[in-house]
Amino acid sequence: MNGTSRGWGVKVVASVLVLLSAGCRAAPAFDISGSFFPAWMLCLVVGIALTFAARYGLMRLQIADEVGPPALIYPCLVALFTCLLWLLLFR
Amino acid sequence: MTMSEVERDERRRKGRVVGAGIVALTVLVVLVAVWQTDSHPRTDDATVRVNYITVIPEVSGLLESLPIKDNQYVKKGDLLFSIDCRPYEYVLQQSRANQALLESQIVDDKRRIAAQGSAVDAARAGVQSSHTGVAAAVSNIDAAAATVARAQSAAAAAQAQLTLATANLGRIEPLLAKQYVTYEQVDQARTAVRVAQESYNGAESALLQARAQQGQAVAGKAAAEAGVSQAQAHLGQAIHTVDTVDTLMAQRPVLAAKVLDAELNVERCRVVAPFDGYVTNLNISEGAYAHPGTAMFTLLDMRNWYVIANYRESKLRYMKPGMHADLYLMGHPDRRFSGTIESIGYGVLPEDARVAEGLPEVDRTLNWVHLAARFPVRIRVDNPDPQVFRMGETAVSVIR
Repeated sequence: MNGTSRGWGVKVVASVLVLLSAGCRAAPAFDISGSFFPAWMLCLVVGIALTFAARYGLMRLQIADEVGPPALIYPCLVALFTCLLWLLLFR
Repeated sequence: MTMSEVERDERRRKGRVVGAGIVALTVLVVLVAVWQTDSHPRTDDATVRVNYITVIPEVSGLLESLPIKDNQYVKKGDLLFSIDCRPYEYVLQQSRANQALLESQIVDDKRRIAAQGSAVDAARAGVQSSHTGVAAAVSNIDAAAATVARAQSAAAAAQAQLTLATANLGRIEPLLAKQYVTYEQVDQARTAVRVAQESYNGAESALLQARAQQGQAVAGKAAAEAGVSQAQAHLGQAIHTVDTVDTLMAQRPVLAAKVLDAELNVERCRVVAPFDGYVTNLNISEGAYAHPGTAMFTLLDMRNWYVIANYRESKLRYMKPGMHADLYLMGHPDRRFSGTIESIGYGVLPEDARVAEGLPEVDRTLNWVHLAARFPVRIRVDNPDPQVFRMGETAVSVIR
C-alpha cells in the first residue's frame, strides 16, 4: 500500500511538472453556451471534486478523524486545490 | 500499552501532521495566488478595438459610383465613392475664365500706362529745355551788362572830348576880336565842339539802348524761369495722371484662391480610402445624396489592433506603458496573442458627476462597500491575425 501511494504521488508530481514545463496557459475563461465563466470557477468545481477524493483517501488511510476540525480542513482543501489548479493551469 | 493504542497514537500523530500540512500549504498557495494576481493583473472586461473613421463627403451631390461593398477590404488610395462633379467643374472653369480676364485687363492697362509714361518723359524733356532757356537768359544778361559798360566808357570818352573841344573854343573865341586867330580857326573849334557834342549824344543814346537791352535780358530770364515752373508743373501733372495696375494686381490672389478652391472641390468629388481597412455599416447605393458632414459609412483602420481592457483602479499601479500583455480572444480561447500596453486611460465619467437643474445630484446612500472604478488600458496587439480579430470581440488580458 505504501508503494502504491508513492507511485500515485510520483504520477501527480510528474504530471504537474509536465503541465508546468509545457507552459500551456489557456484563456482564463470558458465559454459555456454563450456565457463566459472565469477559470477560477472551473477550478473551484474541480477542487470540490478533488476534496471529495482527498476525503476518501484520508478515510482509506484512517486519519480522516485525526487531521483536525473538518470545518477548517475541508474548506482549506477546497481552497488549496482550487488555487493550485489555477496556479498550474491559468497562472 | 496495547498494540491498538500504539496504532491509534501513531494515526493521531500522522493525522495532525497531515492536517497542519494542509493548512500551512493552503496558506502558502493562497498567498502565492494573491501575489500572482497582484503582480500579473488580469481582466476579462476587455474588448478588441480598432480605430475607425466615419467617411463623410465634403461636397454635396448624387453618388455617381460606389464600387465598394459592405465588409469589403480596401487598400489605401482605393476609390470609395465619387460624387457627380459637373457643377464643381463648371465653377472651376468659371473661375479660371475670371483669372484669364483679369490677366488680359492687366496687359491692357500696362499698355496705357506705358503711353502715360512716355508723356511723363516728354514733360521731363520740357523741364530740361526750359532750364536751358534760363541759362541762355543768364548769359544774355551778362552780355547786356558788358554792352552797358562799353557804352558807359564810350559816353565818358565822348564827354571828355566835348569838354576839351568846348575849352578850346572858349580859349580861341575871345582872340578873334583882336584878330589873333582867324574865323576859320574859330569855326574849326566850333565844329569840333559840335562834333564832340553829337558824338557824346550818340554815346549817351547807345548807353540808354544798352541799359534797355539789359532790362530786356533780365525780363527774359524771369520769363525763362516762369517757363521752368510751368514745365515742372506739367511734369507733376503727367506723373500724377499715370495709372497703376495695383488694384488689378491685388485681385490676382483672390482669383487664384477661387481657382484653388474650385479645384479642391473637384478633387473632393472622388473620395479614396485614407488607409487599409474594412468597410462597415454601408447601407446605401449609387444615387444616394451626399451631404457634407453626414456620414456615409464607417472604415475600420486595420493597421493597428487594440484591446481595451478595463482594469480596476487598484491594479493600475502594477502596470505602466510598454509592459507586455498576454491576450486571449473568447472566440479563439486556444490561441494566445501578445500585446504591449500603449497607454492607460486618464479619465472616466465619475459616478457622482450628475448635475440636475444646475446643482450636483448626490444620492443619499449608506454604502460601506464601494466598487473599484475601472480605467481603460489601451493594449496594442503585437501579432494580430486579421482572420480572427474583429472589433468588439470579448478578450481577456493578463499583464506579464
